[in-house]
Amino acid sequence: MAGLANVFGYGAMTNHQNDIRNSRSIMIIGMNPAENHPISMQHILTAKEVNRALIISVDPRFTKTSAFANKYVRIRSGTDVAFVYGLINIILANGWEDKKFIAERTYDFETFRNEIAKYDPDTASDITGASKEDLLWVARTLAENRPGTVIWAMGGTQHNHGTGVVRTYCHLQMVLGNMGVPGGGTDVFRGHDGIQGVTDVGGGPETLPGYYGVGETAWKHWAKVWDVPYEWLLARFKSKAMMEKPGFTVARWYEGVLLDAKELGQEANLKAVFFMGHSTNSMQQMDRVKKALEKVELIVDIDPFVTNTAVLPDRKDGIYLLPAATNYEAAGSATNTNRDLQWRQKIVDPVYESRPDLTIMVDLAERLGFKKQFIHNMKGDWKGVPATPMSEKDKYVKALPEQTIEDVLREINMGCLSIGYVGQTPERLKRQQEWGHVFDIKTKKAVGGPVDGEQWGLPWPCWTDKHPGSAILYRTDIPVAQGGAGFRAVWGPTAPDGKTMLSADGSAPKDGPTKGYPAQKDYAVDLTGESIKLALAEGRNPYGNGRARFNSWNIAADPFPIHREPIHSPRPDLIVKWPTYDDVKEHYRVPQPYKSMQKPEWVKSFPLILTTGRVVEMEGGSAPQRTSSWLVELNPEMYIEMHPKVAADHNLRHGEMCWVETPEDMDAKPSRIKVKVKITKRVGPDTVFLPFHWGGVFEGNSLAHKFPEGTAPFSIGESANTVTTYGYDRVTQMQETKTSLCRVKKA
Amino acid sequence: MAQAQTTIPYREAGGPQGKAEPARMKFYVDVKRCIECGGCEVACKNENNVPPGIARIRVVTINEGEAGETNIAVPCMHCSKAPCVAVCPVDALYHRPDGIVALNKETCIGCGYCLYACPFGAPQFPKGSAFGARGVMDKCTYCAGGPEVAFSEREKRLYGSNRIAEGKLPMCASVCATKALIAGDAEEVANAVRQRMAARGAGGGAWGWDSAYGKGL
Amino acid sequence: MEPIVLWQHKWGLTFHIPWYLFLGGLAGGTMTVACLADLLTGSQGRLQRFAKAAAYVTVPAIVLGGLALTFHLGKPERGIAFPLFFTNYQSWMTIGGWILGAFAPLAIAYAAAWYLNSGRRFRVLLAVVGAPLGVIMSLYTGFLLSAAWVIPGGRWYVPLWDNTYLPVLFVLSGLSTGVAAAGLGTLLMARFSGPAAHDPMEVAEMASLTDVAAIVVEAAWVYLFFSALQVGTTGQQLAYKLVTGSDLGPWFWWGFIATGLAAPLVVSVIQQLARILFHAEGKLVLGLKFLLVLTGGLMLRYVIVWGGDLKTPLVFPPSMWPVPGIGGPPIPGLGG
Ligand SMILES: Nc1nc2c(c(=O)[nH]1)N[C@H]1C(S)=C(S)[C@@H](COP(=O)(O)OP(=O)(O)OC[C@H]3O[C@@H](n4cnc5c(=O)[nH]c(N)nc54)[C@H](O)[C@@H]3O)O[C@H]1N2
Ligand SMILES: Nc1nc2c(c(=O)[nH]1)N[C@H]1C(S)=C(S)[C@@H](COP(=O)(O)OP(=O)(O)OC[C@H]3O[C@@H](n4cnc5c(=O)[nH]c(N)nc54)[C@H](O)[C@@H]3O)O[C@H]1N2
Ligand code: SF4
Ligand code: SF4
Ligand code: SF4
Ligand code: SF4
Ligand code: SF4
Ligand SMILES: [Mo]
Repeated sequence: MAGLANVFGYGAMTNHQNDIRNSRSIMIIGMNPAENHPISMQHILTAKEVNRALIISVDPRFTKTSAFANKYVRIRSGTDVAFVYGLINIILANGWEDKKFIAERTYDFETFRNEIAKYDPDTASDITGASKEDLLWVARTLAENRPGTVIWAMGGTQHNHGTGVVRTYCHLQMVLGNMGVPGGGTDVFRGHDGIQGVTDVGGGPETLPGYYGVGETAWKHWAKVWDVPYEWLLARFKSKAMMEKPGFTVARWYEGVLLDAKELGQEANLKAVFFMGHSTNSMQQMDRVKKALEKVELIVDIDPFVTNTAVLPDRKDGIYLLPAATNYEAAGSATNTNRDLQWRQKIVDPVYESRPDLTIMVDLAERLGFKKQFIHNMKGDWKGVPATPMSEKDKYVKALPEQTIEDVLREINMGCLSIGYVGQTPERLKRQQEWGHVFDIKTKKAVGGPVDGEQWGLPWPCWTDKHPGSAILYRTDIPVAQGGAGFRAVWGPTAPDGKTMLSADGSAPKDGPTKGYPAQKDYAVDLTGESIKLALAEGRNPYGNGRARFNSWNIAADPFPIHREPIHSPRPDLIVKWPTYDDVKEHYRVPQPYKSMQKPEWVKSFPLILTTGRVVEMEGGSAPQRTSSWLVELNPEMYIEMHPKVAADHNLRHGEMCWVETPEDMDAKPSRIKVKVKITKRVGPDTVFLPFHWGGVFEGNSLAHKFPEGTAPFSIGESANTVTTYGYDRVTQMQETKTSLCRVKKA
Repeated sequence: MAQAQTTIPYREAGGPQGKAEPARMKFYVDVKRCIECGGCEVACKNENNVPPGIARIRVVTINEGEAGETNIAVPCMHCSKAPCVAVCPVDALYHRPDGIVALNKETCIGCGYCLYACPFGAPQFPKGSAFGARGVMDKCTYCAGGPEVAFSEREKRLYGSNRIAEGKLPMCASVCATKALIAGDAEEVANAVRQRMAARGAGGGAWGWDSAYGKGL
Repeated sequence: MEPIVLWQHKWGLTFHIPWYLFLGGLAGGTMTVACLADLLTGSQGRLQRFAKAAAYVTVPAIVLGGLALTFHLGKPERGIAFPLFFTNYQSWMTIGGWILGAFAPLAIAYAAAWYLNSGRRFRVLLAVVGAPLGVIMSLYTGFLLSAAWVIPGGRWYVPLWDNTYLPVLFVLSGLSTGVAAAGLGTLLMARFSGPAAHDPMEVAEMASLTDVAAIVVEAAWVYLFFSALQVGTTGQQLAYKLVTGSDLGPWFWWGFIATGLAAPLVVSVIQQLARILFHAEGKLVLGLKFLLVLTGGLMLRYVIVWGGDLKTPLVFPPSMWPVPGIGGPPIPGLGG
């Protein structure tokens, strides 16, 4: 997300999944939609059949998706920058770039061209393992079949330079002029069904809702939304500095427990950890997570299922499991990867003693003493939440009336002006639900009825309650009133080098100024919405009309992405030429070493590349899925994918058990897991693959006895993350779970 | 008693004499589309409460991990000249007027003869009963229940749901992620095949079609 | 494009069916030879003893076989009540039910006639019906598996169960195992019922020679059968490979060909030589030979039933396959 935001202005998928039906080429790189976004394959395969779109799959594994590709290119995990820049090198060498687009709508192509020179086909081929012919073929296919889309997900981001990788995908689309057109775009398929919404409302530690950051302006804006004095908010923090400092991320919170407090970006160690719909077996270096869970004073796990968290630590008390209701037991809106919002009805009342997350949060706010402020904007009936003191009667009232949940969305509508979360009112969403049948499958636009002209899901930015939403971002061939836009003018009107950051004449949404223009003053903080309306009245996009950046100068470590060998690289020679970053003293409150962690000699004792990922039957930590007899029947146990040659070299047969061992990292102790061998040519002879969905077994020992009675899932197994190693993105701190080194041994 | 209870879907257009005629229900298994997501398998089990070990539909993958990897979803195809119907000694298998090959579990003797006759391996048997006996046969009902009163407890227990009587299509095809599995009246299904053949400039990838329904669409 | 082969492993572990086919075929064989021997030899003929032994062997064979069949069913009680339940007269299962239903009582009555010394006339009456019914019994076990002609369009999807060769093979095997079982029965009866009018060895000897003839014909038939498979349809070729080459190979070669066909012939030769050269009686050797034939017959049923796990491959109709799925300007080096 940071990668996209730093190029175009918004950290989200630019087009939508249905729009892939308009593509003529589809490069799927570092994503496996056949397993991880099955429904999207409907659109991808339709494009292939009806449009004769060419599908290219770039992946270290021949995945279920690769099976549908016209071309499969196997690359070494962690080398996407070299691959994509290698493609751009060929495109530029042949003059296949979209010169008009580059000149009018991008910034600093000249320096970029020099950077690209480093990735000549020989170099790119040497780094990635893809042949020069394949590079040429892919470059040519993308050039000759426009518009094309680039689709990625975790294969691109889970690297020490993942943000850089994402920017290269964006750059490729800029060079090809594939941005802002139907069938084009940078289509990152986001993970959970509502994960885009979670990011939008400030799920990350570096921002308040709506990507306002955590600076003073941001706090003041939200203080206004919540109708509390800024000073009251300030007083709840230790200091203004701490208030404006990003917190820990989910990737490395445990170091806040384990490291010496002196090494941390705050005075004291973490004392409590509070999980709300997240499993510990999805966290890299799970052996360290285990230690942290044993040391921390309090653990709260709010989840409909008993997750790995409950059984992982060796401790007797201090773990509280609060049963959460599922999305079927509560109403509310969710925002998917297309930036579409959808209203969801409650299907059943919460079962047993489970409660929806919101009621739990309100209770928590109450115990922490700010319930009044917390529910200020929720005008609905509050019967659902127990009053203090809790009466016997209230104790079991579990669901909130729908009105309350609507108020939550209204608060988002009020505050998240920056990304145009304004027009997605509960009323409009419910109306769309009713009129779902009038939306066109290809454009997602309604034809007729009271929703006429609206985009399905009112994808943000949806500037007013009359705006149809913006299904495709940065599209200049339609007026702003219909969802048109330039790139976001978020870096001011001029770059540090004095060049303009506003788009050239002629590249602007229809029916407005033809030249670039800066953002409307105060559009993101004017709660009256007048600033936004002012801009719209003149056919201007409130966020301005700027340029997409080749040069992201604010990312100091690499304004232009650079190929960086994984921390655990199998190529000592390339570590010298393409090293990782310098060590960082503090990043999200923890030290983040790079170079000092990158050991060229590891490959000698750990010769295989280890990559991890997903399978269709499971989801994330998979506490729910491993509790379903039908899914477990389809995919019963943890395994390792291994090429026949690797298996033969280690005297392993299909179905036998083996140990997977990885190098020591932060705790100077190698880790290992015992898993079943699956022999397959999905992986090449240099790579092994582990799905990360299992839990309940740790380094060969079953933890089944630790589940509360009757809650153990049907399938338990070793967690891949017991052996995943140190390595985190330089910007987002995303874990480097896609590339490590390991060795296997017969068990 | 059996057929009397059955609710049969009719073609709207009507038959040759302008009279409404029963639909002819078929499956289109498009091997160029199936991504082996398992959605159909799980949805079928959920809908019909199929016990573990039995798969009324299962997805077969060939050439896994290599060029030519292909997935095939295999339910009971409800064949036109069904070999299973021909061999069943007790007529527990029979054609409904809409072409669905239904099963009567009250008469099935569990001989397994249909299993050998079926080219698709559709008939299933529960495992692990006494003397290695397999109980009575179970197979895909096209989500049309059995020869019981529609929606009765008994029908639900023995055969699962009866979506056809509800006017719905089979569960597996309804949930299919990529529309690789299409169910419905022969005319509509043939149209879908034709459309895809036209779009692709070649085959419709309709696996098992000739074996189940004979040549031609 | 490779043809797609569906596998069944459903019957792989059950033993009922191979045993039923073996015992049923054998009973058909013993019944036939018993009746023939009874009819063709005069009332004092030396084959009377053989006929009696064969008649006795038929009873446990058909009873055990019937039990195996019944308990193979998921609902044995409905199987036993077959006249009520079996309504599809197109199905070999139904036809077989009636064959078995007629055969078993007849076999028991015939054996009882021997046991109770009911007099020859009554026996002959039974034997006249029994001889063909025995052949039908053996034949039907083969038709059961190769049910082709009851299916519209002859669509039968188990290539190993070839309908030209299998039924005859089962008749031949039924005869050879039947004669062997009767021979063995003669030897055992002599052992337990003391001295009698005729030398049991003489009878067993004759059975042994008959069996040699049956085995030679059977071996020739097996050769024809597998040669036909080898050059047949894709499915038949796969079936040939499965039976002769893969996991089933050892069962076929050692279990059936070596044990059931080759070894008995070799043992017969040795036994004959020993008799001529050393005047050795060789009761045990004969007994061993009969056991080998029986084992081979059982193995044959296992191989045939297990080999039935392989279905006729369903090939993609050429009109539906393959799909190029490529458009736009021609690009060099693009594969399908
Ligand atoms: N069934 C199911 N669906 C899911 C999820 C699930 O758990 N189960 N999770 C959801 C979530 S949270 C997310 S984020 C998405 C993730 O969706 P994906 O990104 O598709 O998930 P992964 O399987 O982790 O990784 C995708 C592919 O990246 C490849 N890869 C590894 N290293 C590299 C590399 O260096 N370069 C390239 N180009 N490819 C590489 C892997 O081989 C793998 O095939 O899926 C979502 N959908
Ligand atoms: N090795 C390796 N590790 C990885 C990855 C990888 O590719 N490789 N991928 C990473 C990525 S991208 C992600 S997103 C994570 C995913 O990992 P997780 O976030 O752990 O994913 P899930 O298991 O989907 O977590 C969801 C939990 O929420 C619970 N839940 C469901 N509905 C509700 C609800 O309404 N309320 C509450 N409170 N709880 C609910 C579920 O029971 C489940 O336990 O894994 C990460 N870990
Ligand atoms: S699991 Fe749900 S969110 Fe994922 S592809 Fe299927 S329907 Fe969509
Ligand atoms: S698929 Fe098999 S079980 Fe279904 S109708 Fe055809 S032969 Fe019968
Ligand atoms: S198992 Fe049942 S349905 Fe199948 S042939 Fe035998 S009696 Fe008929
Ligand atoms: S039609 Fe119904 S019973 Fe048959 S496989 Fe599909 S879901 Fe299962
Ligand atoms: S739901 Fe559709 S795509 Fe998924 S496995 Fe079944 S047939 Fe294939
Ligand atoms: Mo994710």
